[in-house]
Amino acid sequence: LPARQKPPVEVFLNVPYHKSFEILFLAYIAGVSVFGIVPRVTLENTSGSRRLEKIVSLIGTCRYSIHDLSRVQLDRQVPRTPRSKMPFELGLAVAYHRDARKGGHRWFVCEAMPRRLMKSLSELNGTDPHIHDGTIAGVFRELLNIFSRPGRQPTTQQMAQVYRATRRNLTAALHQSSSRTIYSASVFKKLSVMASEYADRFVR
Amino acid sequence: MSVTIDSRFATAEDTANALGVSARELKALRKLVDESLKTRGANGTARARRRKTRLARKAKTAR
Repeated sequence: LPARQKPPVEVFLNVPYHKSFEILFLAYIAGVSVFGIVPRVTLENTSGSRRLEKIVSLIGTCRYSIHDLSRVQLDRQVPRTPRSKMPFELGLAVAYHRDARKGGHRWFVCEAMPRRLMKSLSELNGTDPHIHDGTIAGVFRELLNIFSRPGRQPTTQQMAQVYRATRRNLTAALHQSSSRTIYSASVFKKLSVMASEYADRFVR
Repeated sequence: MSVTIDSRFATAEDTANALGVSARELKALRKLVDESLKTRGANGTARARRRKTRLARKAKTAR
């Protein structure tokens, strides 16, 4: 099919839902929107079906997935447990990718520090993680290393522009959703739609 | 290794459809985007708003 007729692609963002990660979460939303990609996360699923099945179904609908393992660490709350959500969902995506019948799914790993992945998930030795240094600019840089769009290739400056514009509306989105956190289905949807709108206007 | 995106660019409508956002909410969000661009300008600064305030003040003084 010609590019104009192909439906927009979706990317599954497997990120930690942690207060300290909020700005990077918004950076991922803005960054993928600038490529004309629809971000998808597990937060969207508010129906009553089993969570695991919803995640598998979401991975199945997305052509790409990005797994940020930079916060795979012990949490502060007692009992202190490691955050296994992200590696587990990465495992699901890898399994999905390896199943030839469902081929076409591509997965990418992001980390904040080089060589940390070798220690936390040695099974992925040989896979080069995208190191974003825990910064917004780093996330934009790595998204640019992951994706390319011929004819409408965005720049990190455009990503930053969309990020800033979307962030300005964060308070309104939180207020309208009666939420105090960015990690709610309603807030995520609002921010994603606004980021797409800004991206469509800024990336010409 | 990078991947090439060869599909249509996702507009706000596409994103709203994929995420299950209603047409009414999409309209409201677009309005929010329009307003933010009008008051603050597309470059992410408050230059447009400052200019408007400056011009309004000038006009008031002239009167």
